[in-house]
Amino acid sequence: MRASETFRASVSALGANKLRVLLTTVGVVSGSFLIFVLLSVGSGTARQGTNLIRNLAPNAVVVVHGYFPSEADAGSISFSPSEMLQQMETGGQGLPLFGSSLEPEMAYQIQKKLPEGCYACPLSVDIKTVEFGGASRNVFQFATNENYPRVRGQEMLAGRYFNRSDRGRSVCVLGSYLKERVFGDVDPVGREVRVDGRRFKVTGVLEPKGMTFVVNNDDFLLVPYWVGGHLGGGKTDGFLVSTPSRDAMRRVKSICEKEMRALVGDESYTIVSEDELLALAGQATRMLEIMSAIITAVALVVGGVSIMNIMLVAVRERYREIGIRKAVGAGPAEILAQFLVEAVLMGLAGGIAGIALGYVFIKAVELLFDYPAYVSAWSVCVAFGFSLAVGGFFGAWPALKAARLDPVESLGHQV
Amino acid sequence: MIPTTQDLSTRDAERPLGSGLTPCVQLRRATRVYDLDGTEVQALAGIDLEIPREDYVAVMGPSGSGKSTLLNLIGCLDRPTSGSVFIEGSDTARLSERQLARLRSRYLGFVFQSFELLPRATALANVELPLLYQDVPPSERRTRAERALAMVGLGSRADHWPNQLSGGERQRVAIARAVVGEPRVLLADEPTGNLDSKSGSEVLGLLDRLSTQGITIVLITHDSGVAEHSRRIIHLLDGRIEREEHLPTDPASRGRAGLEGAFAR
Repeated sequence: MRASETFRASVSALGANKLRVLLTTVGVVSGSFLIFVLLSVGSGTARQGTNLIRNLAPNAVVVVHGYFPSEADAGSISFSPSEMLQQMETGGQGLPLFGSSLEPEMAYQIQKKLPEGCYACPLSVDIKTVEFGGASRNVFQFATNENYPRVRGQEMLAGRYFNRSDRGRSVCVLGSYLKERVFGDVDPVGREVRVDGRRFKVTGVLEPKGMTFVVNNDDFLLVPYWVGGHLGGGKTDGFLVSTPSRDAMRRVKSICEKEMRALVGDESYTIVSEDELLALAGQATRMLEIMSAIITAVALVVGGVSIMNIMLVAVRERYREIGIRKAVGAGPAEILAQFLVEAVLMGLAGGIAGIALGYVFIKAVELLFDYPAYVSAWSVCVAFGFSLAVGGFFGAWPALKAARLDPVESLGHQV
Repeated sequence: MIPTTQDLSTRDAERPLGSGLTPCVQLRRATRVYDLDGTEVQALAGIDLEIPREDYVAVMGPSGSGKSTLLNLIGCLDRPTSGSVFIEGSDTARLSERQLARLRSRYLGFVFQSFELLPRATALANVELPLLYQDVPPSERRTRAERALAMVGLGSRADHWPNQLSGGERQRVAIARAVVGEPRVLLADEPTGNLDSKSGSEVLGLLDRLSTQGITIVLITHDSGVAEHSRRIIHLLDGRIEREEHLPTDPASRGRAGLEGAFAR
């Protein structure tokens, strides 16, 4: 029998039981929906995570105080609250928030050793309240030095960046979003803001960098490290180094390792390069994908079982039809094909419906929660392919059963 | 590729009847034993039968005598427990399921007591069904099916669904379906069993006409009036051929001849 005829016969059989087909495919629909949504959200998150890392600085090398878990000893890290508390109190290794022994001035020492085109700045994070006029806003404050714009590759929108001539003075630079929120249309350059009550003179506004994932790159305050008054006292959380190329990045990492050993002596800091961070993020993404695969496999198996169940019922109901078809010359392969195509079509229809629903869902989430999912051809293919495979796999046994039916018995079967 | 029956017959070393024409159907000591919940039931207890081309055979016998089993064996829906069944010279025991299907598709047409039309297909689609499995292209399929329906006098009912047709009409559709593939042998299992006498005689008239056109017919019935349409009546009893009677070949004298030509086997 021609493929088109097999297809037509299967479609007509499915058409005769529309409600049943609809109910049967619910399982596959939800399975394919889950695959599609999880993959899309997963790859969206992974892409944004990657962007966040890439956005640090070009080919960044990061020096951060504290012991940063690497892949090799991931298993030995304890995440129990009590141990974390203990580490916080003792300022021990393990949490990069407290007890830094890194001096912001070390950034200059590092800078001296760096090849041309590489820039280092200290970076220390805190949360502050910025006030101007009646407006106030809680933002992240980064304490850094005059190299910051070069490290991050960022120009000024207005005014100037602080420099060494500002040494000893309370100056600050605003992110463009923060400026909009606090100053509105007022030009902030030369004006004073209050940061946690302390007066700071605004020297300039950074050009906007936009959003990365849920992070607003323009909603923060930059102050020179010498103003002090941030968490950790006169210490800094770490250093951010930009390099012109991936090769330079690896070279700079070893330069930093050597220099830091000379400067600090102990190993109370961690040095990672962008590619290592990306590898770590990739690993997390793969874990997420494996979890998604397991969840969706369960949903799809449930969908597959319902297809199998309904196909077994269909075979039983259509004993006589099978008998008739065999009597007029249908071979086992043709009967097999007919029932298999029915099951595959159900899988396919469920898959397409699931993807369509998933697409609507993702678009809705993007709109409502501003969450960037990423709809890739890959997620469509995987959802589609799995639905197809489920139809084929779980339809095979009923179809085989139909193909093997004894024609005499099936013709004698009373419906 | 599925071998044709010609290929199969030349392969068949044990070719029946070395002389003359190969009979359409030949059974040699064919038995069929069913296993019903551990009890062996012998439906056929060794049948020797030859049906030459263009023969018109009626099989009679009380229920349980093995009529349907015999028809199933001839129709390649079933295979003998022992002995052999040759269709067009091919030993059915040696053919795969696929080859049997091919044989049914090319050489055999079935007519059942309860019509067995597909309920979700129009008369035309039902008649087209065997051609579907012969890979006949759609346009030719349609033409041939329409011709077959016209032949049974239902040309105007092609688009009707089975439940819109009377019993007699359904059986005529079934006959059209059975002959649309131009089979050598038409197998009819009580074709008039569910019909009133008028529809029944219409159906029998069709079979007679097909017989004169050269189709070999094997007909199961327990109605001697129906059996008289044939040239030869085989009486089955307890899975054996009890006797065989030959009727006059002159169609005009059939029906009147009754059992006069009967002789014990």
